[in-house]
Amino acid sequence: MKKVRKRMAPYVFLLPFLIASVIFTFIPVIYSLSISFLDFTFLNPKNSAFMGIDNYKTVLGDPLFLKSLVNTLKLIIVVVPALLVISILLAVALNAKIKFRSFFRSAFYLPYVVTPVAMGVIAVQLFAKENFIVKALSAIGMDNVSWHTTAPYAFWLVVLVVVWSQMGFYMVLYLNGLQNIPAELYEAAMIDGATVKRRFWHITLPLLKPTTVLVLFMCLLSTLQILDQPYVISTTGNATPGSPGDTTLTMVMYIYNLAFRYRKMGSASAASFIVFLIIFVLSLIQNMTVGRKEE
Amino acid sequence: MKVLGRILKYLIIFLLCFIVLLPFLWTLYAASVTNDLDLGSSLLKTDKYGIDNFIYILTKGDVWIWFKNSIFVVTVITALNLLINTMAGYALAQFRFKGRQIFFLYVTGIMMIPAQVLVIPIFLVSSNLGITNSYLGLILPFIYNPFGVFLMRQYFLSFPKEIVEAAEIDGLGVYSSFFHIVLPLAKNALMTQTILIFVWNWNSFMLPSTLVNDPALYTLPLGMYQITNTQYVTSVPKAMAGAALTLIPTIIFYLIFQKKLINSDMGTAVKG
Repeated sequence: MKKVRKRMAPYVFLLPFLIASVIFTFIPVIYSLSISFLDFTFLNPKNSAFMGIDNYKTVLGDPLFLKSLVNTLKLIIVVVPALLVISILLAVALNAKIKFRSFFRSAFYLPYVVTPVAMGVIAVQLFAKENFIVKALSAIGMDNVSWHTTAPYAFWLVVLVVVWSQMGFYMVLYLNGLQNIPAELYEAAMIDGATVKRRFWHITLPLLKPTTVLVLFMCLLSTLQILDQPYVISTTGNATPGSPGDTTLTMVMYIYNLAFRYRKMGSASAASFIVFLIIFVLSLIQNMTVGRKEE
Repeated sequence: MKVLGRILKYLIIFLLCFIVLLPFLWTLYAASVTNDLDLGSSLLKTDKYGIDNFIYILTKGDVWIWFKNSIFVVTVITALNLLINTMAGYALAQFRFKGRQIFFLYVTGIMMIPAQVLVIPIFLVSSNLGITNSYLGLILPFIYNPFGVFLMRQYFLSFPKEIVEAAEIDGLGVYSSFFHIVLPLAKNALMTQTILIFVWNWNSFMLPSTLVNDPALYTLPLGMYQITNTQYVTSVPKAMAGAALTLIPTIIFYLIFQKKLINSDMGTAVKG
C-alpha cells in the first residue's frame, strides 16, 4: 500500500500544475490557434465560418501590421545596443571597490522593480511641454512640446523609459558575469603594464562573452514583447494606442488593438501566432548558441 | 592626477544615479504641490506644498478599494504559486517515474510561450468559463508559473536525498515528509520564488485589464491607469500623487528585500 502511494506521489505532486496549465495555457493556445482560421465573432461564436489562412493573409497584408513591425525593429535597433553598452559600463564601474557601492547598485536596479504603468504615467508628465527638462532641451534647439503627443519625440520617450527601466536588470547579470573572471588575470595584466582601457578590451570584454550572448537575447525577446510602457504613453488623454500617428505602435500593441478595440479575434489570434513564431525561432537560436557554449 | 580621476569617477556615478532617481524625486515633488496648476513650469514657481493631493486621491476615489484588491489578489496568487510550483518542481527533481522527461519538456515548453502572446487566448477561455469580471478571473489564470517550477526543480536537484529517506524511516509518508521536513528546509528558495511572483503580479497590467472592466474589481495598476490617464490628466499634481501611491508599496517591498531580489534575479536568470 505504501509502495503504491509512493509510486503515485510524483503524479499527485504534478497534478495541480498540470490542471492549471492545461486550462489556462494549453487549451487557450489551441483554442486561439483554431480561431485564427475562423471568421470568429463574439456574438455568434457557433456561426464562425472556416477561412483557411485568410486571417494570416489579412494581417501580413495590413500596412498597420507592417508599420508595427518596423516600429518594433526600430525600437530593437536603438534599445538593445544602448542597454548592452550602459549595463556593461555600469557593471564594470560598480564591480570596482568604490564607496556606497551597494547603494548605487540598488538605485540603478530600482526602476526594474517598480510598476511599468506608473513609470509610463510619470514619463509623460516629466516630458510634458514647459516642464523643466523639455525647456532645458529647447535651449539646445529641440522643440518645446509634450513628447507623448508629438512625433518623433513619442518614440524616443518610449526608448528612454524602456532603457531606464531595464538597465539595472542587465547590470546585475553583468555583475554576476564579472564575478567569474579570475582576479589573477587582472593582476598579471597590471604587472605587464596594461592600461585600464586595454584591460577592459582584452580581458573583461572577451571573458564576458557568454553573459553578453545571454543579455543580447534577453534584450531582443523582451523588446519584441514590449507593451505596457508604449501603451500607457500613447494612450494618455484617451488617445488611440500607438499615437501620435502610429509612431509608437508595437507588434504586441497591434494585436491588442485588433482584439480589444476592433474585436477581430480571428485576425488578432493569427497575429499572435506570427509574433509567437518570431519569438520561438529566436528562443531556439538562443538555446542553440547558449547550449553550445556549455559543451 | 589620480585623485582628480577618482573625483571625476564619483562625480559621473553620482550624476548618473541622480538621473536614474530623478523621475521618483520629481514625482514626489510634483505630488506635493497643492496649487492646482496645469503645467510643469509653474510647478517650479509655486510655494504651496502639502499632502492634500494624497489625501484627495485616497479619499475621493476608489484607490483604497484598489489597494485592497491588489493585496488580496496578489497574496492569493503568490500562495497558490508557491504550493503548485514547488510541488511540481519537487516531483521533477526528486522522483524517477514514467513520463518524467515528457513532463519536464511540457514545463519548459510552456515557459517558452511569452505572456503577451497569451493575452487573447487567456481572455477567450476566461470568458468561456464565465470568470471574467470576478476575483476568480483575476486570480485563476495566474496561480501557476513554469518559471517557478523550473526554479524549484533546480533547487531540489541538489537537495540531499538522505533527509527524505531518514524521514521515511521514521515513518513519515511521502506527503508529510514533503510538507513537514522538505518545505521548512527549502525556505531560501521559497523566499526567492515569493519575491519574484509577488513583484511580477503586483505590476501586472495588460492581462488583468482585459479580464475585468468593473472599477470595483480593479487592482492598483489598472485603477491608477484610469485615474492618471483620464480623470486627472489636467491636474498634474493629482496624477503624480496617484502614480506615487502605486510606486510606494513596490519601493517599500524593494527596500526590504533588495539583496534577495538582486541575487535571485541573478541566479535564476543565468540558470534559466
